[in-house]
Parts: sequence; C-alpha cells; structure tokens
Amino acid sequence: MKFIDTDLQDYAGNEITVFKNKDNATIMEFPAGSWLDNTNFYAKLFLGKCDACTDFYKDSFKDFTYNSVLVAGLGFGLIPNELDKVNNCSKIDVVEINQEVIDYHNISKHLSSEINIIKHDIFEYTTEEKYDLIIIDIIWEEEDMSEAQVELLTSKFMDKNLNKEGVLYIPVKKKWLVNK
Amino acid sequence: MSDWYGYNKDCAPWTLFYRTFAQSKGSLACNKAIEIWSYHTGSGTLPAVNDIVYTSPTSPTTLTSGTYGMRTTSVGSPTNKFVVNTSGVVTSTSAC
Repeated sequence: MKFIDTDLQDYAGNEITVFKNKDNATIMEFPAGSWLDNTNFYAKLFLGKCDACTDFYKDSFKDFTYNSVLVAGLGFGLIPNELDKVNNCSKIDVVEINQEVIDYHNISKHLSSEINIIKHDIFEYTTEEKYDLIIIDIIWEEEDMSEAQVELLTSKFMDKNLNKEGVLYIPVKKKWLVNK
Repeated sequence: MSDWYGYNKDCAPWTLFYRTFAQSKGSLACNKAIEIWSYHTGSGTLPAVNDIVYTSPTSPTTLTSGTYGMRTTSVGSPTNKFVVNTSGVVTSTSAC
C-alpha cells in the first residue's frame, strides 16, 4: 500500500531527491534520471495482487503462503510496507546498499519500526536467517541484471537462507525460483 | 518558415498511438492500462528509438521522462514499452 504523500518528507541529498510533482505525488529521483513514485500499484503488481496483470505476476503467488521475508532494495519501502500492514508478515528484513536512502527513511520515519533495515550490498550480504520469501528489487529493467548475477544470488541464498518451498523472487527479471 | 513555430513546422503527419502514464519500471508500464493517446514523429505505427513523442499533434509539449506502455489501439494491454529521456526522445523500445 502506498504512503500518504504528506507523510513523506521532501529531501535533497547528493544521491537522491524526494519531491512532490505537479499532481502532489511523491517522487524519489536518482542521479541517472531513474525514479520511483509512491503508488499502490507497485506493491500490488510485484506481490501478485493484480488480477488484470500478466500471468507471471498473477500466477506466481497463487497458493504460495509466506510469513518471513527478506527484501533487497528499499526505495520508498512500498513492498515492505505492504508486507507489514497488509500481509502482516512476522519478519521483514530489508537490505539497502545506499546509505542516503536509509538516512532518508530515518528522517521521514514513514515505515514501521518493525521493519529491520540493513545497510549492505545484497550480492555480498550474508546471514544465518531463514526466510519464506526473498525479493530482489534492486533493478529498473530486466537488462540491469545479468543471468550470472541471478545465478550468484541463487547459489548464495537458495539452500542457506530459504525455508523448504521458499522462493527467491526477482520480479523485474520475472524469476520465481523455488527451493525444492 | 521561421523557427518561431518551434514544433511540427513542416506539418509532417505525426502518428497517433496509445500509451500508459509514465511508470518508473518497464514491468509496471506493461501491466498498466492504456489511458491516453500521444503522437510520435517516426514512420512506424509505434514509436522507435530517436523518435520524439508529443502529447498532441499541435502541441510543443513532449512526454516527461520515464517508461511507458504502448499499443496501436486504445483498448487492451500494452503490447510494447518505450523509454523517453528528458527531451521526449525515445531511447529504447521492447515488447511487453
């Protein structure tokens, strides 16, 4: 679920800028011109709650239940917020590489304190924790992540950090990899 | 003709197509409904790389930068997506 736009503070940093556009929607802009907006659709699509969406998103979550989630990539925190407020997940950890994005959240305080934010590069992050679902949401387009990087994440997390039948999910790459 | 006109001064026939509103990611653009029409300067039915996209056939206003879903008709889901830069120039296209 999206945040109330007035709860999201504006911010001007070196690596991100957060501002309201002409429609008063909140935008987080990154240096290369890429951006994120505070929208309901983001978490709905990527968490398979969109009936009119393409089969991959609609069908992947069918009959899949989960309670503990690791999310790589924070942005506004739309996915963690949906997992917390709507799905009522018991454990939500978020790995974010960009300190300024974390600083923004510390200032804006729009995310629940139940969500645990960890500063790290997901490709180098190691943990002993086990999850039902690991969501890799660190790219804008499919070509932003190579198959070698997918394999690296798979070999890193699949056996060690996913519960049986847990899933490594890379929505933009349309990857849904089950730990059999 | 003076450059004062600034846009479509040769009255070239721009091509009508349909699109979504701007999205931050291609996956979102491909899963949004088609909501509005636009015009592009290319010769294809849909915009291609280096075409410029305008909000109307007589408007100098280009699209804001972002990723959009598109199709040739107004009904249905996007068949393709495209990215425009801050000048309204298409920098990439691909199928949904």
